[in-house]
Parts: sequence; C-alpha cells; structure tokens
Amino acid sequence: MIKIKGISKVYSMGDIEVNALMDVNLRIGDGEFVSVMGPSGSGKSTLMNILGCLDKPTSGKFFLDGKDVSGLDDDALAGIRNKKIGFVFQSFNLLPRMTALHNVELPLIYSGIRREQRIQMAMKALEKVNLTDRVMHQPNELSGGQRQRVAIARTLVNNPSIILADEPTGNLDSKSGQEIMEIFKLLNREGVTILLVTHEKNIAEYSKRIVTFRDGRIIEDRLKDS
Amino acid sequence: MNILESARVAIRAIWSNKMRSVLTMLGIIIGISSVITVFTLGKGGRAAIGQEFESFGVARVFLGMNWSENPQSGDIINHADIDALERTFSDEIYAISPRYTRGGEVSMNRKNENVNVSGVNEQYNKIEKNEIVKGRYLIESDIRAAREVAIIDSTMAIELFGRLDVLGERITVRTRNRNISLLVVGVFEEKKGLISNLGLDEPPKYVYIPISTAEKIFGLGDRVYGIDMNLQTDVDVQAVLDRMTGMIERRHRNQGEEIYRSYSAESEMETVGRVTGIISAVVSSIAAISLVVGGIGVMNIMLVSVTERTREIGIRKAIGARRRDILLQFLVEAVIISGMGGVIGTAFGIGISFAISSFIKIPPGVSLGTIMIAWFFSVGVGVFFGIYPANKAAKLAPIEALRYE
Repeated sequence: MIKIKGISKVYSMGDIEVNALMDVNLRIGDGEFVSVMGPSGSGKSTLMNILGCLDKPTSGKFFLDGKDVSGLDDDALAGIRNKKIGFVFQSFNLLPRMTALHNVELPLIYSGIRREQRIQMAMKALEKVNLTDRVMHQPNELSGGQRQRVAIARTLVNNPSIILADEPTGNLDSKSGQEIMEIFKLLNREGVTILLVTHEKNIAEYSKRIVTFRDGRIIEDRLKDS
Repeated sequence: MNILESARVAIRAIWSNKMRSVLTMLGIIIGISSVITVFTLGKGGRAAIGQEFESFGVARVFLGMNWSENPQSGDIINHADIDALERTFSDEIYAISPRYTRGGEVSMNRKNENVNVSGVNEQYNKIEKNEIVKGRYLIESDIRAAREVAIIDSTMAIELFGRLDVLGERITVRTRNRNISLLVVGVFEEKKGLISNLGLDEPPKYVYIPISTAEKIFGLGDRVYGIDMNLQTDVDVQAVLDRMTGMIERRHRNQGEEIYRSYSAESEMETVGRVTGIISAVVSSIAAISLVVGGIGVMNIMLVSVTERTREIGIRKAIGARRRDILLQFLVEAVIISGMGGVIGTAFGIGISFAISSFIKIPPGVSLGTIMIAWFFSVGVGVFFGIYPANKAAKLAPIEALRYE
C-alpha cells in the first residue's frame, strides 16, 4: 500500500548539489513491520520525510493506498498527514503547555471532529498505550517513556494507514525503549503497518523486515530470519 | 478547523503565556483608554460649554463703544439711541438695558470685598437672570428717582453681615474717586458657572444699582457706554445685531468707522465650537497614534511568538494542520488579545473620564456609540497588525520548522 518508484531527492547547498536519495524503489504492504537502517547521511531520514508527506521528491512517483500523492498540493498533503499517516519522532514533539489528553486530541481538531467525540477517541488511544492514569498531566510532568507513549497515542487517534517512527527510542533509556518497542509490536499484531528508522540493531530486531540504505540507495532488503 | 475551535486553541495559547499576553495587551489598553478619555472629555466639555452659553443666554447680545477707534463725544451712544432701538426693534427685543460698571471695594465689620458696581435698569434681570432670594430686584421707580439702592450677592451678604436677610442695611462702596452709600433692597444668588467650578480665583461680586444713580454719581450725563440685550429666541441674532449697529451709525453719521462693537453669544459659541473642535481633533490624533503604536506592539509580540513557536507550528503541520488553520489560529490570537485590550482599555478610559469629569464638574460624555467604535477599532488593529505574523507562521515549511531549536 506504499509504493515508491524512482524516487530521487536533490538538495542544493550553495553551489554543491547533494543527492540525498537516488532512484529508490520500495514497496510496503499492509500490516508489515519494516526497519530502515543505515549510517547518517544515507538518506533514511529524507525517505521518512517524503513518505510522511512532509517533503516532496525531486522526481519519481509515490503511491499511497493506490493513489498518486506526488502531485498533490499543500492542503491535500496536510489532509494525508492528518488522516493517513502517523508520525513518531525521536524528540517526541509534543506541545509543551498542554495536557497529554489535549496533545492526543490535536489531530482530531484538524479533522473537524466535535469535542465530545474527540475526547472519547483520544481516551481510547491512550488506553491502547496504557496511559489512562496520567492524561491530565503536561509533558514536563511525564517521563521520557510516557511522553513517547502519548506521541504514539496521538498517531493512533485517526486510524492511520501507516505509522512512521524516526528513531523512536533514541532519547529513551533501554528499559523505556523496550516498552515502546513492545507497544509497536502489539500494534503491529493488531494490523497496524509500521515503518521504523533506527541505527540500533537490537531495535531493528523487533521488526520483521530490514531495509538498509547507503549513500541514497537501498543496498539490502531482507526479511528478518526467525 | 472552524473559528470556534481556532478561538479555543488561541485562548489556550494566550492563557498558557499570561505574562506575554498581558504585556502585548498593554499597548492596546493604553491606546484605547486614551482615545476614549479624550473623546468623552471632549464631548463632556463641549456639553458643559453649551450649558454655560445656555445659562448665559443664547440670544444675548451686547452693543457698545469700540474704544480703540478713539470715538469723539458726538459718537457716544445716548439715551435717545436706546429709545430708538426699543421702538424700531420692539418685535425682536425681549429685554434691553444700558449698563455702566465700575470696580470698587466694600468694607464692613473688618471684611473687605472687591466688587463691580453695575448700573442697570429694571429689565436687566431678564438678561442676566439671577435668582432673587431676598427682597426684590430694581424697579422702574428706582430708575426714575435715581434712588441710592442696591441688589447684592448672597455670598457677599453672608461674608459682610453673617446672614442672608440684610434688607435695610447700608453698604458703602469705595470707587476710585467716589464713595457711594447704598441701601440694600434685594439679595440675589449667583448662577454657578464653569469658571467657579474650576476653582479659579473668585471674580469680583456684582452690586446692581439703578443706571440713573450711576450716571448721577459718576457724572455720565447722557452718555451710554454699553447696552445689554436679550433678543427673542427665534430671531437671526447676528442679522438683527448688524441692523442695530447700522441704525446707531446712521444716527451718529459715522458709518464704516467701526466706532461701535457688538458681541453675540451665538457667534462666540461658534468660535468656541470651532476651536474646541480643532483641539479635540489634534488630541484625538495623538491618542490615535498611541493606538497605532499599540498595534505595532501587538505585531511585534506576535512575530516573536511565531518565532518562539516555530517548532510547535511544525508539529501542528505534521499532524495535519493546513496553512489556513495556522493562519486562523494566529490571527484569532491577535484579535482576541487586542479585543480584550480594547475592552479593558475602554473600561479604564470610561473610569478615568468619569473621575476627571466629577473633579472638574462637567457632564461625562460616554455613549454606547463611542464604546462600540473603540471596540471595533481595537479588533481592527488586531486583524491589521496580526495578519503579517499569522501569514509568516502559516507559510513555514514543516520540516524546517520541526528542525528549529
């Protein structure tokens, strides 16, 4: 349900042109759990930004659930980010002076959903990540692991086609990191498609397929054995 | 996201940074409160001046000598002139009285009062309109007999005699080269005017005596130096006054020499109205400038706010906010801040102008119209000065915004 063909991304920094991605082809099916690995500068973050509709490729085509999204305008892309894609960031990216509940509600506000329904849907998402006892706390009153759980709940709230996670355990200690990966595993077992960027081998081991990038190209794409 | 949601989001954002929001509002508060204060005081002041003229007499006029043109003895107005005026303009004149005033001093029981001795006729109280509280005003026989009687001010009666009922007492007025002994036959209460309300130095008290008595004592002969009149209310005051002046000039054969000067409350009112209008406009402009400064303040703070919240804007966009969602959020924030500033500023402005107007005793001029205009202005300032920062926020690219530290 994600299909990219011939995707390239070129940045110009002054006179220098950087080929972040070069003619990348990739297919990700419903329900898959994929890790993207590679050294820094290999293009994996650029790929995430394009898949997350935060950036447009220089060339190539991007099909999401059968629809070509490469030519869409900003408003349409925003709609896709709202309803079809969930983002989990390394630094959590929660709104600091609002409660966990309100953070999770936020995508629903932009979907135009009414207040009572929003709160219900947000509480359901927070249940899924086991955080119902701290919903009225602000992010600075939560631990790193709890914040990331709020972020994951925020991605779930609109039932996205895919969750994109960029180094989700990068700012967590190993115990919290494991908790988060267990949640991803659980969600994937329930049918959520997950694409995860990491440079840690043991985190990638939680997924079922590992795609390795180097210098803007995919050099390996294998199913995890066992 | 509709406007109601934007409002909720905006209010949350404003509330979560109360200090910054208040400081932003401060400019608008000061701007609006000064505009409102100036406006309402201006209106109140004009109303007070209008009241002054009302109590002075809207149709009141004065016709007298223009001493700067060096009138000769043949130019000076005489009693025949007054009779002629009364006959010719009987339809237009409500009351007419010659008047001669001399300054002097009254001493009694070791108290000193500065007075103006004013010789007038029995019609004068229909022109100056003082309330008689004891005894009577001058009557026709006083004038015919040139009696040495006086009507005095109630505060002077209390100052000199310690009581109001002073009928039958005698007072002696010392003028530059004459002393006059007068019998008090009436006491009047002076109208309160704006001048006394301002608490400035009290003007001299008036002592009214028959004009014939004044002419006798001061040796005026047939000379009339000034005529006070109250015209009927439906006449064209300036036109009648011009005709009267023309008639006097014809009688004395000095047309075009500007020997006589006239004064009408009406033209005075127009001049005062023009002047206060100009002053009001100037001061209002200054106040409006402070409102503009307040608006610039709003814009600056919104710009800072946008920069500070670059990350937040990136997050909102990443989870699905469109350009117009962000634009609306920040615009509504600016409007709410300046709208609230407008409300608070209006309250302050009304409070201040009430305080000032009770202090200098002019009526407050607050109207719903003023308040509505001020409020619309502050909302307008919010929109105008909020658009640029809101647009800047809306145009941020999500990836860069997310990378911002």
